[in-house]
Amino acid sequence: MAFELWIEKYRPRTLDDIVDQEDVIRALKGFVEKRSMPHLLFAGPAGTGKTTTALALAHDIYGSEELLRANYMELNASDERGIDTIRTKIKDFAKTAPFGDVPFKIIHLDEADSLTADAQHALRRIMEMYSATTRFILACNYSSKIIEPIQSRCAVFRFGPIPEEAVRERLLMIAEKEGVKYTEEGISAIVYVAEGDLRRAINLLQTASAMADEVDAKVVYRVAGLAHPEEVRGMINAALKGRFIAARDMLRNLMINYGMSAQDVIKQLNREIIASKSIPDNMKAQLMVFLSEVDFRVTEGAHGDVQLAAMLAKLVELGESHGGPSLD
Amino acid sequence: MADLPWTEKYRPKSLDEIKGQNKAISEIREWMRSVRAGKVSKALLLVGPPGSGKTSAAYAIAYELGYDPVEVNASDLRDRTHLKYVVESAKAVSLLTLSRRLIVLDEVDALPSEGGALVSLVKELITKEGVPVVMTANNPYERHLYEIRSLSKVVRFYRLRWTTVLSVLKEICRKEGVKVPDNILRQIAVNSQGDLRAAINDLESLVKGSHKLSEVIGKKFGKRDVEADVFKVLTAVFYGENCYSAYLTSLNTDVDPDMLFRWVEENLPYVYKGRALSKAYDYLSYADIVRSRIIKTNNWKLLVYYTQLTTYAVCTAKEAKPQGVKMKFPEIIRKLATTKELRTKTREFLSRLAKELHLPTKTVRMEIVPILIADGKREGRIIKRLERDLGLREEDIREILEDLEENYKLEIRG
Repeated sequence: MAFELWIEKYRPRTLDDIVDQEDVIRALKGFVEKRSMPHLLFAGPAGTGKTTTALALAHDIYGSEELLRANYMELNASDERGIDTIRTKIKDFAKTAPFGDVPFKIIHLDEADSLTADAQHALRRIMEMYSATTRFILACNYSSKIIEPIQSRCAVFRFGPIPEEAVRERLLMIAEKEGVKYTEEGISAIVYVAEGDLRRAINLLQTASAMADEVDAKVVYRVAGLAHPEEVRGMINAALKGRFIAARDMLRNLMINYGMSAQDVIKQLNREIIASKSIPDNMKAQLMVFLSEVDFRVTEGAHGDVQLAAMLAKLVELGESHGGPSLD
Repeated sequence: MADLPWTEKYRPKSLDEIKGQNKAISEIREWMRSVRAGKVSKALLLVGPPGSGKTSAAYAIAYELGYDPVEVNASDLRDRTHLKYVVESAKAVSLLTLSRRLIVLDEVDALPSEGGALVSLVKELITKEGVPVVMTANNPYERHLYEIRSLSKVVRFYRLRWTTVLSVLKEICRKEGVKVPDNILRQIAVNSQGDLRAAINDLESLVKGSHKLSEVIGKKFGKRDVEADVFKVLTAVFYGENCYSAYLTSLNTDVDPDMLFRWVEENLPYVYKGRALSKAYDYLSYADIVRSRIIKTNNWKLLVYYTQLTTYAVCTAKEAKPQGVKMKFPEIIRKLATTKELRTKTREFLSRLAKELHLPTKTVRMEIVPILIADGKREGRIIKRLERDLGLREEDIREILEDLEENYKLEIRG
């Protein structure tokens, strides 16, 4: 699919096209030659090429787009509703023999580390059940979050952050081809913000260039701010100043309209509070104890918004006893 | 006059009376300036969901310009000789009123087979004769409107907010001298999903005594007296001194425990403050955990704790005697109901994109949606491409993006 979205347009299609992660690529090319491979576990931070590499590997093994489409399935563990739906999808896909003259089907399960330990044990059994026809490529951010029995059944490959120079080079190449006007500082700002996440870097470049005629540092920082809605800060400040109802309205807006999960909100909230220079340390300590409890209750409870609203009420109370501080 | 349907009776006469479309109105005024200056270079295409004010705007424009509106419909377009007559008469000044004329074409998106005739009519009127043309459409991205779009200044009307709809309903009740309870008006406004015409129709049939009343109320409140029951329980919980009897009150009513929970949660911060609020919310937080355990373990025996925490425990948390306030319908239920359809659409769109781009949906939300929003403000190239590649309607994509944008608050520079 020739998308206008650059991450797709400039995605390397074959292993040969992938310039970073040389050690990994060399090993994978061996699998292509022998047309045989074990289950694989790709571990590394976001935007370092795990998905692209899995696709390219499958492409090289199958040799054509058609066979790739018929024999390759992608699942995202955090988007699926639990291990049962994953099992059903895998079963439907794996129960038939591979299509065409290919050695096996490939199932790419992204964000495998978002599965609980129990679900991972179930996954292990599923992997064994279909290993005659199917190979799994599991991707995760942290291999330590994958249970031992799975790790020991997989060849583990580590993807490091893409070096700044390589990110810069790629951005310049795309900017050149797309006729994007930019300043040196603009590109540096993207490289800095992206922290080795090439996908984010390319998306930032495209957003910035769609927003302004020239990609400069100012635009980049404004665009990058989008991922961290100001509203979270606004909500915390409203609560600390004792304006509970306003804070709760903002919370509902974040969750319903913006679609943030309760987990996302609390993660962001924790980051803002811990990094704040104006909230006194003793209050932060009290908040840490409290936030950990809320985080737990969010997982345990039925409605994240109620748990978070309860937390806002607590913030109001704590804010009052510390003279109504704000984040900065 | 008395027999006019209310949607006609209360149709805005001037542009200023059209509610909740400030941006569109100012764009229309800009176009009107060029008409007044005798420089009609483009037709006006008003696009937006049903009941957002497009047709009213078309007639208000004619009224404010002092032109006679002439409506051209589908059958006019099909009949060539008649069409010619329309053009001829549009050029001339009306003998009756000595006014110039303005052509109104309503719902042009519903005329796919008259696309060719439409284009030549608009071309003829605008470019040759300088006669102003105003069109309306729900979906301007239909294939047959491709050329029309390039001949027109496109002005977008947005789905009205329920609060806007509510204020219009209240105004009508005042003018008609009828009394309808606030919560019912609110219900009509919310149910209309931003379609003011539908809301006014609902109100009219309700007041004039058709069967809609029970339907409208039934949708949210179930039985008529349930709300009275809710108030009885809330009063006992928030203001009562005997918390055990507050709990008993809740047992003696027909209120659904989840509904009661949301009522208590909604109104709590208006009644309790500070430490009492935080304490009561802690009980609600615990009640919510109990609720989750009931679902997970299917252990309905736990329900009694859920209700006790929601009523008895919350009742005990108050410190001073709380002040009396008016109870509010749970906002969260309203919000979830109003936006449900759009939220489903949005979720499907995002997961579709996620699949195509080999990304988790949260990454699509965070990184791709901003690109699409910025793109939509400029050429819209990517969106058009998505329309083709994913077989989605541009209209739908834009509606989803508009909704998402409210939260991203992007500004376009340059």
